[in-house]
This record gives sequence, structure tokens and C-alpha cells, in this order.
Amino acid sequence: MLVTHPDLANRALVLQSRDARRGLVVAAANKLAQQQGVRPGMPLSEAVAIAKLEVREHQPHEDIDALCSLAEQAQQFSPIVGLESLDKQPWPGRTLLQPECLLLDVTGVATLFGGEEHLLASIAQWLDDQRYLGCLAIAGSIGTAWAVANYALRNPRVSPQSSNHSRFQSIPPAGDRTILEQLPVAALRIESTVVAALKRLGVQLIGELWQLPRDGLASRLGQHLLTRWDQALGIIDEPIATLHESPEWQVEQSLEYATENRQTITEVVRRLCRELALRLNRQNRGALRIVCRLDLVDTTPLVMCLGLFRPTDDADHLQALLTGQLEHQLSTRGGAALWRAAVQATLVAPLVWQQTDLFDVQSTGQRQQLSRLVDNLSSRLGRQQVLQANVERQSQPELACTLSPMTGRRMDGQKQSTNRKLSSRLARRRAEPSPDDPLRRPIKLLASPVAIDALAIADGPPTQFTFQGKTYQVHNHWGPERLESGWWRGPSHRRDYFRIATTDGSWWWIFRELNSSRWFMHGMFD
Amino acid sequence: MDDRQAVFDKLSKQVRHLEISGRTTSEQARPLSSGCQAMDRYLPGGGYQNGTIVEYLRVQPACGANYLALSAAREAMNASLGFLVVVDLAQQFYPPAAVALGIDLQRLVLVRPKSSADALWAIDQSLRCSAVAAVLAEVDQMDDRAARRVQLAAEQGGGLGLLIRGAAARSQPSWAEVQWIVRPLHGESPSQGFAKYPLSAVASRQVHVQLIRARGGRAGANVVIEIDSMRGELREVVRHEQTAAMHLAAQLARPARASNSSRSGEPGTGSAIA
Repeated sequence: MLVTHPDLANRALVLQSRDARRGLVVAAANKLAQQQGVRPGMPLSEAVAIAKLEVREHQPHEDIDALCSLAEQAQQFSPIVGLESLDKQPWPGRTLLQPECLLLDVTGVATLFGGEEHLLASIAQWLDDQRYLGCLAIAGSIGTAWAVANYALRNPRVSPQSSNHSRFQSIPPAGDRTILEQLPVAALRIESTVVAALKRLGVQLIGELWQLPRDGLASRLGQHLLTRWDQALGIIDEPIATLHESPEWQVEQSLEYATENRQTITEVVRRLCRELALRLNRQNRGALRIVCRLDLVDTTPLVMCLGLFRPTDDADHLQALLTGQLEHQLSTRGGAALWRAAVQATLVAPLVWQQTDLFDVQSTGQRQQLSRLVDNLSSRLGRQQVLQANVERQSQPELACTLSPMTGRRMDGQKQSTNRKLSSRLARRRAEPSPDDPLRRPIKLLASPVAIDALAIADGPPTQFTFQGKTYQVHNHWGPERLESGWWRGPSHRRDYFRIATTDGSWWWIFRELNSSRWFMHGMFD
Repeated sequence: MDDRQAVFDKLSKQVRHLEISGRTTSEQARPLSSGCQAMDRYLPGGGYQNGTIVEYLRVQPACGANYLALSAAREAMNASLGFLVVVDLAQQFYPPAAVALGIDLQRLVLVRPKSSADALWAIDQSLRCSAVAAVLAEVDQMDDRAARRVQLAAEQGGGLGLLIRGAAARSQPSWAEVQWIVRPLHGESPSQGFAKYPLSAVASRQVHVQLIRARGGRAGANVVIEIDSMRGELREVVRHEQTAAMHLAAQLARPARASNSSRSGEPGTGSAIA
């Protein structure tokens, strides 16, 4: 989230999510919030009581989206990239049941980067460039690497001095055992109940666990513990569930001689597109996400990600989108020689696609036209720039509408059904815009309210205000409409909104923040 | 004198013919409503034509031009069941307002380009797409080449291009089929407003529009439009001085209807004749 909204970086931020039993809980908290004592997993009301926080809704799909796109790009380091596979319960220390780690199989890869330390350093650099903070470890088994990354490097108690750079560590083959012994038993990826049981037995560290007789553990604490034990030591092999659907959706070409010639590069990409489209077509599948990687001599590879609105197996369409991006990228990067190119479909869906909900447009021709347009727009302008709007039941105007990218995801038409059932019809009517009251919400809303100078009598509306250097006299007003965010959403916003008509005839939407009695401009009825 | 008038009429008819010669008859058959009957009345053919550019020039921000354009977009969407693309360079468009106008968000594509060059490109691409019923965009700077490009794109795709521009665009060359200039008006005096609309209901908003360019029609029409705060309709307002007489005449003709309209409209500003 901080990557897309850098303005939030300087504030204490928490993300909330709804827990079935405990109500709203803190799903994640940033460094500033954690310094004030907020911990993930604590009830939101408690967190709000101890610190002044910015609260946002936790969007699980955005996490997964971001992680998946990292996984796509991480293929520049290793051909096998996957997300961690979860158990039924969240592991101790985690509040959410969702993958947080990327696993890379780097067997034999390190030498290409000049050793494991260098490989880690370049991965860390790649993460830092994108303003992510990573914790990386290389070890002989997935279990050890996971334990070191999560428990040795990812320090839950973040000190203010800690740097903003990714941390990494490489474990020599013989060092597995010694380093694991120092880590808590939770680092074995076991259930919280088992951790609690071990704690009652006085076992805190993995080293202490190993002192216990192994034979008795399975019957008392479950076979799973022993499996994890063996996985950590590399006695049992653990597969990486790769993200891409199957290797057949990847086509690759290595050039005998590296070339800088743009025409050749474009032609190579074109040929790969055709090959991929052919494979997709044979299985009646269409691609929703495409990653094209160009390995260049002496510099970092060029990675182009493409999201599509509807699954497609149309070679010409893919070519056009990719070459469009390619030209743009080459003109900015220019001068590097290509030695290998790969095009891969990372998200694939059946071609026959039923989206009756989304499109009630009759003709399929029209639908195809639109998806081409959307693909085109998002390919050139970026995925985040072509959006679909949804109205949410929130009283705070900024949150009453969510925007999501239109491309690169599978859509299921069953949203909000539970929401609907739970809410009363009256509440819904109050929150959602309706044609009965068309002038209630402005057509333009400022991304964040702008403080203005206003003259007002006591609690009444302003009589005059200054916005963007111009002073307006208030001619007429309607309001106040009091909008408050729920107390359970963190520090409450309590605002009295006024619709203001000025003497020159313009209409504005301004509010008084009741906590501070300051005036803000929030929108215009344009 | 009659001679000169006759020649003038003949010439203007010829000019009009030349102006609309490019149109095919099928396009002429079904004009798109502008969302306001009074405005339609002054448009050649009774509305906007498919595949053309319509410009709303506003004299100041927050004057209601977007509302008029969105109403026209809604009509175009309903007519062809196509999509609406909003190219929002300022990143301020607020979709709930569109919902309140009766626009289906499932058929809305919101594009937020980062530069004005990208915005122009997005407008061009969207207009070229035949699934798009209307494109709504605010364009402040546009040279004649870009304007021509956008117009050709609309012609190709058959959608309606709704551009909101500053009043300065009036002196610039334009390829728009229709240009309106939008000026805000303020309604009644504050004292009435306080008394009559204490909390929830809002007095209707008035906007003055002037037709300054209409290919194949006659420019110069002035209309005062009222945005009904209850139903969102756009209707013409007849000025106060004339209203009294008109109102009386209407009452004599159809008593029940006239009294209805005087109750829903405000007596200070006039009654609706739509």
C-alpha cells in the first residue's frame, strides 16, 4: 500500500480486517504504528485507544496481486518461483491466512550472479528499488530459509534506528543445525496450539525441542511437527508450488549472438507471441496476464507485465500490446544487447467466459471491442490508470467509492451478497447515491480535503471563503449534512458538510471538521 | 428589401446543406438527446449526431458543465447500450455522482492518465472504439491538429465526444459539431433559501447555456436550464417577467397541471414548461 500511496508513509497506519469471532482487528501496522505499541492481531478499538492512527481497510486481493506481480518479476533470478503453501490455521505470529513469502529455487543459479551473497544483494537491491523491505535467506532447505527470514531477520520489534534496506543472510550448507537451534519453535511453521503445548513443557527454542526423545513426540503433538522438523533439516524434500500454471505457457528463445537491433528484438518478441498464442489456442485457453522478459547483456533484464481485460489467444493483439510497450521501454533504456527473450502467460483462463453480470451488452462484438480498448489503454497508460468504480456503503465520502484496475484478474460476479443481506434497506438507501437526490454528491471530489480560510458565524455556514487564492462570497447554502466515520474505524472523522452556492454562481462542497472547527474544501458541483 | 431577405435565406440554406452534406441519412434519423428537451429544440436535427464532438465551454470552475455533459452521456449510453469512458486528467471525477445521475457503473471505464498527451491519446483511442457510446473529458489545451484527430476518431467509432473546455477555447479553431457556453446563475435570495430549505431539500440549480456553434443549424440560442434537485431532470426556465403571464395562460388552459407545476417549482423563479 505504501508503494502506491507514498503520502501515507509518514503517518502511523494500520490496516483493519474483520475477524469472524473478534470483530475488527488490526491486520497490519506500519513501523510508526508499531512504535506506538500497536501489534498486528490486536482488536482495532484497543489500537485506536493507545495511538493516533490512520485506519484503512485491508484488501487481501491487493496483497496477493502485489505478491504475484513480484513473483512474476522474480523470475529474472530463478526459473522456479512460488508462494509459500499454507496450513489450515495461520502460523503463530501471523494474523492472516494468506501467503507472505516468495520461494525461489536457486540451485545452481548463484554462480551466475557471482555467489550467493551477490545473488542476495541483487535481489535486495531489486526490492529496495521498488520501495519494498525484504527479508531474504538462502539455505539448504525451504524450512531453514523460511525460519531464518521470518525469525532471525524479520524482527517484530522494529527499532527506530533500523534502516530502510532489505536484510539478507546466506546460510552455509553445514550451518543449518546451529542456526536453527537458536530460533523459537514457532519458526518451524507449526500450529499455535502445538507451540503453546511445547511452551507448557518448557520448550522455547528449536534446540531444546531436539533434546526431547523424537519417538514420543508424534503421538503427543502430532505427526505434523515431525514432518516440519525433517523439512527444516532437509531430510524430507518440500516442493515449491510455482505460481505459473504450467510450463507449457512459457516460450523462450536464446539468441546465438546478442543484438541491439530493435527490429530483430521486436521480431523475436513477435515470434514468441505467435508461438504462445498457438499453444493457448490449441487448448482453448486465453491469457489474462503476460510477462515478457528480455535478458540483456550486462544490465538487469527488462520485464514487461501485461494485464488483459478478458482472456485472449489472439496473437496479433498480444503482439501489438507487447511491441507497443517494448518500443517505449527500449527508447528509455536503449543501447543494451538482447541475448534471451521469454514470453509467459502467468494467468490463464478458459476462453469461453461468462460474465453475464458485468456485461449486459448484447453483441459479443461490442464486448470484444471494449476489451481491446481496455487492454490498449492499460498497456500504455498502466494497469492502475484504467479503473472500474464500485460504490461502497461508507459514509465517509473518500471511502464511499473504490476503484480497481480492470485488467489482469479473474472476475467472479458474486460480490457483496453477504453485505447486502446483513444491512438494512434503510441504511443502504442512506449511504448509496440515488437518482432521488442527484445534487447530493459533487461530480468532482478532491483526493484529499484542502484547508481553506472561511468566515462563519458560530456553528453556522460560512459567509465567505478563500480557495486557490480567490475569495468567494456565499450566496446560499444547504446543510449541514453531518457525516461521521464509525468510532470503530479509528480516530473518527466528524464533519458537517455544506453545499455552498457563491454569488458568482459556482457550487462547492465544503465541510467543517468538528474536532478542530477548521474548514475544508472537498469537492465541486461542476 | 424582400429580395435581400430571400437571397439571405437561400444562401444560409445552402450553407447549412454544405455543412451537413457529410452525414449519412441513417445518422440523421436518430439524434441523441442532450438530456434536456429545451436544448434539443435548438439543435439541428433535434439532438446530437452520432460520431460528433460536442464542446461545453465553461466560464468558471464548478459551474455545472459536467452535469450537463454527464446527462448527455447517459442518454447516449441508453440509446446504444454502449460504454462511457471518462478521461479524468485531474483525478477528481467522483463516480457516486454519476450513479445518482442514473449511469450504470458497470458500463463506466474511468481512465486517469498522468499527462495531457496521454489524455488526448486515451480520448482518441476510446472514441475509435465502436463499443463506446460516449467519452467525457476535460481538455484545456488542444491544438487544431489534436482537435481534428479527435473529431476523426469520433467519426470512425460513432460515439459521442463530450469535451469540457475553458471559455478561452471559444477563440480557438474547433472541429466540434456543437458548442455550448455554460454560465452559472444564482437562484433565489438567501433569505428564502433558509426558510424554505432548512436541511435536506436543496433548491434547484440554474445554469445559463448559449449555443454558439451548431453545424447545420442556427447558433445564438439562449436557454436557462434548471437542474431539478429532486429528480435530476433538466428543464427550461422562463424568466420571471414573462412567467407571470405564461403561468396565468397555462392556468387558464390546463388548471390542474399548472397548479402542480407551480407547487413543485419555485414561485420566485418560474414554472416549468418542458
